[in-house]
Order: sequence, then structure tokens, then C-alpha cells
Amino acid sequence: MPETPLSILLSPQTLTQISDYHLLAKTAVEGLLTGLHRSLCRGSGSEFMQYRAYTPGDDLKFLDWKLLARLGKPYSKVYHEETNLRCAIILDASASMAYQGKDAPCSKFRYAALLAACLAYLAYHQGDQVGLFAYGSEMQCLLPPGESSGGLARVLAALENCRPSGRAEHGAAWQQVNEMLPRRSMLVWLSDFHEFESQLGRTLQQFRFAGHDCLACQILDQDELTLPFQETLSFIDSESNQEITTTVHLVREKYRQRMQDFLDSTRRQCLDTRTDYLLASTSDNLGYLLAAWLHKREALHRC
Amino acid sequence: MLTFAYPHFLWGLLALAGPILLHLLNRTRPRRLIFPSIRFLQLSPLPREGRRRLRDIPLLLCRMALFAAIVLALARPQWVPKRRPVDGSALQQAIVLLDSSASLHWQGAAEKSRNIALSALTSHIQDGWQTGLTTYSRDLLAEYPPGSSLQALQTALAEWEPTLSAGRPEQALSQCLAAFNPGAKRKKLLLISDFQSSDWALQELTLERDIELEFLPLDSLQPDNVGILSVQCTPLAGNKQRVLVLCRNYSPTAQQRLLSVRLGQQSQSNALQLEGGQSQRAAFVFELQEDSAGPGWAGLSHDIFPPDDEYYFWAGAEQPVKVLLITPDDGGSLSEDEVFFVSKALSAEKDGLPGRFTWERLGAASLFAADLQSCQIIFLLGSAERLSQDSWEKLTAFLANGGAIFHTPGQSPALGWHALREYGLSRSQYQGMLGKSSHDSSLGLSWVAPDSPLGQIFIPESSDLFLFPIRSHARLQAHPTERILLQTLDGLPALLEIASGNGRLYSFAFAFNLSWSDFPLSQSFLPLLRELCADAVPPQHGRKRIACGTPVPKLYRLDGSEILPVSPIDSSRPGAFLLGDCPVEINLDAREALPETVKTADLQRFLQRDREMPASHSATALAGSQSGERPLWQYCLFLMALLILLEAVLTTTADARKGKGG
Repeated sequence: MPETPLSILLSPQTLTQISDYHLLAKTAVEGLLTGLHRSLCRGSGSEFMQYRAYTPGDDLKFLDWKLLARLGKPYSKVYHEETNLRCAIILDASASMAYQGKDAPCSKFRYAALLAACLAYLAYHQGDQVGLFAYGSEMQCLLPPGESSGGLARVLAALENCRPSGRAEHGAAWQQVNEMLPRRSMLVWLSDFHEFESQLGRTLQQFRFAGHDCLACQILDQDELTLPFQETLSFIDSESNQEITTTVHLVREKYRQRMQDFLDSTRRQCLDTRTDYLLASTSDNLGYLLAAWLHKREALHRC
Repeated sequence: MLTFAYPHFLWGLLALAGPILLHLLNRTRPRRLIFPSIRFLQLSPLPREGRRRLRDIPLLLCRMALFAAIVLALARPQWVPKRRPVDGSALQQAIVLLDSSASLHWQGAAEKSRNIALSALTSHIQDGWQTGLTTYSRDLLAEYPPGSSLQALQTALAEWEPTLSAGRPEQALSQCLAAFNPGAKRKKLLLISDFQSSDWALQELTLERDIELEFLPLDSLQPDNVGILSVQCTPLAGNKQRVLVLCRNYSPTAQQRLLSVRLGQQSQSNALQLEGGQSQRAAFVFELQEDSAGPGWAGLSHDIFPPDDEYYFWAGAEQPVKVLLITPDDGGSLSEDEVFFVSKALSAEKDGLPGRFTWERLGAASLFAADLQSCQIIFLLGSAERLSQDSWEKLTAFLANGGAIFHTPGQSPALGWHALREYGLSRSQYQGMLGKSSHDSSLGLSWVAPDSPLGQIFIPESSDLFLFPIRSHARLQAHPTERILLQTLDGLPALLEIASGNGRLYSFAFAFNLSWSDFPLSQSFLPLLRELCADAVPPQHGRKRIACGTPVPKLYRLDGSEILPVSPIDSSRPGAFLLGDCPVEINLDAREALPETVKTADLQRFLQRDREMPASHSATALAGSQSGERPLWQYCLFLMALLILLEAVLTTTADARKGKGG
């Protein structure tokens, strides 16, 4: 039986046909790992850092008996202090995320939800705590990372219940997340970041000050990037309901230039705040996107 | 050539501009698209290209064609074969319509109308008109189309004579309409007539408004006229004939006339003094030799309208009434008994018995093929339940035309009365039989309708009508519209008289044979049957009276063969003839003597009234049937249906294309 190519298995066209987020995430991640032939799971062992002289009161389990036998002096092994990672996924569920281009396999929100499910699955199976914050005009989902069992299931169930609507209130959402999240967490922000470029840098800076490790994933539809329409269209803003009628081919170049400026601005602000930035189109292969990000992070951590 | 019955509807073709304007004005509305953010979009000038350009050309053409088809269908197009390849732009046509009815026999009217016609024809030809001539009485007599030479028209007028027929101008008017060239610039119709009201009581005829009407009245009708309306000849005992002449004085003043009647070799006269506006009868009695039947003549001294001063009639022995006895084909002895008793009753000759009858017998299965026009009475002797649908339809028509049917029950009485009800001849209900099961012989008649012909001759104290026993009879419930002539002892109808059309149906509750009753053996049987038959037959049965000009009616024998006259009968002139054994009297239509006329202004208003749908439809149909016009609006409807389908297909295709493009 011929094996299904990975590019097809992890394509949004395939994944979007799976309604169960758990199965979806399992399919995506396991497929990703199988395809890369490389396990990112290192087991649950502690990482050795150094030896130090045994002092009374030390736990005998850290005593290196072999070294005692060879040298005749007791030494205790010192390990890196091991703490669980708290991964918080911040999902933009505003109305602008509901857009689905004519040729796109899914909407921006659906793509972001796929990505969030995959990240949650990855984190959960690494033993990390997973939380989800979904917001539009108000906070739709508020699941802080916790140690209770069933964290992944709750996140996936919350993803199924989220519906994109309303105007994106990025600032208010950030406030709530910041208040509820303990320091030194990992944040994954999935949004199109429309109309937020003026505050994005400051917000990300505040995240960094709080010790959070941030990833900003900007998700856009291919239509937004290229404006491929031909005829005269009446565009209605999905969040403000403003309407503008224009002949596309007359404004396309100007639009693309402005869109590129917007993307550059977002990327620059992320770089300025040492935030991982990832631009994703809804037609991009989800597996490759995840793999590229994970490798990038692994490389950074090794540095 | 294509013409339109309602050409003003063609103005509706201007509405074809509507779809074009709508296409031009209705700019395509831009498709609305909900977009994540419109911050980077900017307004652009709307493209002018295509704004004033026609799109969806096939759909536009389809809709315009549909519009045009609707307008054309409303305008009622018709194809008129081109009569003359004449350029009608300067063509002037005039037709003289000359009345040739019997009323033109009024003193001096014929010559006056000839002179008027000749004058009109001459003047119009000299003025450059193409002129034609049409004469009519009951039918179209002669037609000279526009463009005929003056010499031909003068010859026709010189040979023209009024007829003795009544005037019916409808056909001639329609023919004149068809004779005009549709493209003629002027069309004129000159009506020369006395405009007698009885002739010009038109029902459904409308002339086009572009036809000029010119009325040339003769003013010939005068009231000082006395005419014979009818003559009735009645045989009397001892080979005598009584002739009753009815005369009418149409003038308001008293008139004196000498009335003469000639019958055979004898002639009698009588001076009449008729009061103004009154009718008067004059009786003459002629004593004739045996077998002296023949035509008679009645005449008045001539006055200003001679045709109604003479009247032809037929005198002779009373014609026997033909009776048809219908029996079941497998009736057996009981049916034979009925035929025997009835035929004996009809054939009996006895002083005081009314009427003379001849009879023929026919099986029920053969009735559908028999010709019933020559008989006046039919006896259904137990055969009602055996008749087919065709036979019942013939009997229904026979009753509607004034015939009489006598019905007696047969072996299946229920079926017989059910058939009578089913075909609408009777509404009485059959409720079963009485007497047969109980062997009760005490049944009998108890009552006769006193105001019926039977009530005059059957007196309970002196007749055995109420003495004979009835062994069994049908139990009937009469409908209120049906008349009970005889009742049984228990109050049930024994004989019903039912009016149906112009005729009558007599339905007996018992048959004329001894298994039902002793009625055929009673002394009352013969007078009862003869009296009923005589009452059922109209007094002038077998005598055909027709007006001059009408075709002689065709008579047939029972085997379906036509009765032909010994010598050809000319119905255009008065006379009295014998067709087979049926006298035919041909005389002037009495309405031709009426001096009333219509006003020409009223007539013009009527002829050129606004076309109302039923009248114009009839007129169009009449003219069309005679001039070869073919209505085309059905094709327009067919075209509309096709275009609607095409429009639906094109619309669906266009929508799909737009959806795909968006």
C-alpha cells in the first residue's frame, strides 16, 4: 500500500477535513515527527550540570557512588533545576479571522486553530502545561495553563467552541493574559495583527519584561497578500463594516505595497523585542510550518 | 398580405425600447465582499468602459422578441391573400349594394332603385372610382367586383329584377368587405334599399371605419296595403273543404278589397271591408268531387304591393299520420299481442274517431337507422329497455321536434323507466310492480284527468274505462312537472303525459296485452288511443309551409331514401305542390309586407360601432372564412412559449456565468 506523501498528509486541505482537533493534532504532529525521522522528545531525565562536595544533609540519592569508590571522596551530582513549561496560546478570534479566500482551503481562524491544536498536542506530550486564550471583542476562552489532568482535552474542546466574531481588542486581551499568566511562560500569539501594529511592539516588550518567551504567528489569507480579484468589488470591512467600492486592478499595486509595509513593520517590531515571528498563509503546509519553527527554536536554544 | 385586426396594439412595439434602455441604464452592481481589513484599499474611479455597452446580447434579443410576440399576438395578425397587385395609394373603390328583396315590388320601387344605382355607378366611374355592383335578396344574387366596366354594370342593372324572397343583407355585406382592396385609399359602400326593418335587423356585423357608407333610401314603403297572411284548408264531411283566409290591413284607414278563392274548377269571391290596422278572416266552403285534392289560390284585388295579394295552398283529404311501432326483436307472443291491438286501433275507421293513421313496425335494434322525420307518433311497445344510445338520441331529437311517443312497459320495466330518466325524457320514479305476486285482480282505473282530452269523452258513469281489471301494473311516482291522465284504484298513476321539447311522451303503467290487463278488450281502448294520438299530432301535420326563396325541405322514407318531387320545384316563386304525399306551400314571407323601416343614421351607427369583442370576432370570422384570411395569432403564442423557454435557459446560463466569474 503506497504511503501517503507527507506534503499531502499535512496540507491544510487534508487537515481541514478532520473535525476532531485531537485526531487532527495527533495526525499532524505524529506525521510531522515521522516525516522528519527525528524525535524531539528527550525523555523525562534530569540534565546533569556539575559535581560538588557532599555536605551532610544532602540527599544520598544524588551521591555519585562510582566516584566515591574511585576517588574515596563523596561528591554529590548537581542537576539543572527542572520546572514544567507553561505554554499559553493566544488566539485571535475576531471577525477578520473568519475570512476564507476563494482558493483557500480554510479560513484564517480555522488555520490558526489547527496550529494551536498542534502546538498544544506537542506541548502536552512533552509534559508541559497548556492554556488557551481566545479573544475577539471580548475574551471568548480563558484557559490558563494548569497542572490538572486533561489540559489538552480542555484546550481542544475550547477550540471547537470558539467562533470568530467581533472587533479584535488586542490590548484588552493582553491585559487579561498578562494578569493571569505566571512569569516565564511561553506565549504563542496567533493573529493577523490587523490594526495593531502601533501597539504590537510595546505589547511584546511587556511580554518580554515579564520573562515570557513569545512567538508571534501572523496568519493571513493569500487574497490579503496579493489581492487577486479582477472586477470592481465593494469591500466591506469585516470588523468595522465600513464599505469601499473600488476597481481592484487599479489599486492592486498600491495595496500590495501597503501590505508589504505592514508585514515589514510587524516583523521589525518582533525582531526588536526578540520575539519569534512567523508569517503563515492559509494555503501553507502546516507540517512544514511547524517543523520550520521548531527547528528554529531548537537552534536558538542550543546557542 | 399581413394585416392586423387590432393595429393600434402595434404601438406597443415602442415598448421594445424598454429592455434596451434598462440594459443601458442598469449598470452592473459590484459584488460585495466581506474582507478582513480595508485599510490598505483606496477608492478608485469606476471604470466607464462597459457602462453604456449592451451586455448579454442573446438574452436582450430574446426578451425583445418575446415582447414583440406578445404585442403581435394582441394585434391579432392575419394573412390575407393579395387580391390585386394594385398600388392602393390612389385607389378609390365603390360598391353599390342593391336590395332585391320582395319589398322592392312596392309600386315603382324597382325602377327607382335601378335609376339610383345607375346614377351612382355612372357618377363614381366618371370621378375615377373603381365601381362594383352587388345584388342580394335572401342570398347573394350577383357580384360585379370593383373595376367592372360601366357597360357591364349597365347591362346587369337592365336585367335586374327584384325577387320574391325576403332580404338578408349580411352575406352580401361581408362579400362587399372582402371585395374591397385593402390598400385602397378610399372605400365606399352605397346601400340602395328600402331599409325595411325586418330585413335590416342585423345581429352580428361590423364594418371597418375606413369604409364610407352612403345610404340611398328608396322611401317606397307605404302603409296603404292589404295582404293575405295565411290560408287554412279544412276538410269537412261529404267531400267538402272549408277555406279560411286571414287578411290584414296594414294602413291606418279602412280598406275595401275583393277576395277571391279558387279551388279546382270552382271559384268564389267575397268583398271585404277591413278596418284600419286590423286582421279579418273570410271563410269559403267548397264542395269537391272525390279525389279532387290539389292546389288552391286566394287573391285580393291588387294594390301598391302585389306580392302579398295572392296566396297558394293545398286542399285535399287529410293526410294520414304515420305511426311507428317499435317492438322488441325477441318480444314473443306478448309483443305480438300489443302490436295486434295497437295496429287494429290505429287502422280502425269509424265515424267519430279522430284522425287517420298508417303504421309501420320496426324492431328495436333497427331504430337507430330509421328516419323519423316522416312519422309523427312512435309507440315503444315494451321496447324501451332494448334501445341503444343512438336510438335514444334519435328519440330525444324526435320529441324535441314535436313528435309524440307512447311508452308501455315490457319484460324489464325497471330498465325501461331507468332509460327514460337517464336520457331526460321522464322524471318519474319506478317503484316496482303491483299485482303479479299477489294475484290480485281487483286493480283497475279509478280517475281520469277532467281537463284532458280523455276527460271530455270518458264519463265514469257511462264508460267501461273504469270496469276492466288490471292484473298488474307498474308502481310509479310522478314528478310534479308531469301530468297524470289516468289513475288506478289505489291512486297510482296509470298514464302520464310528459312534455319534452315540443313533443309529448305518454307513459302507461301497464302493457297492452292480456297478461297485464283486459284493457285492449275493453270498448275504451280504441277511443282512448285514437284520442290521444289525435291530440298529440298538430293540426297542420305533414304540411310544409315555406317562404319564397328558402330551399324546399328534404323528406325521407323510413328506409332513408329521399322523396323526390315529380317535377322540379322552384321555391323562388309562390305555389303549392305535392312532395311525395306531403303538400308544400310556398308563399311570400309575410314580413316583407311590413311598412316599417329603420333609420339610416341608426343603421350607420350600428354598422360602424366600436368593435366589441364578440361582434368583431364574429365579423372577422365571417369575413375571414369568405376571403381566405388565416389568423396567425396562434403562431405568436407558440413563438412566445419557445421564447420563454429560451429566455429561461439564457438567464440560467448568464447567472451561472456571473456566479462563476464572481
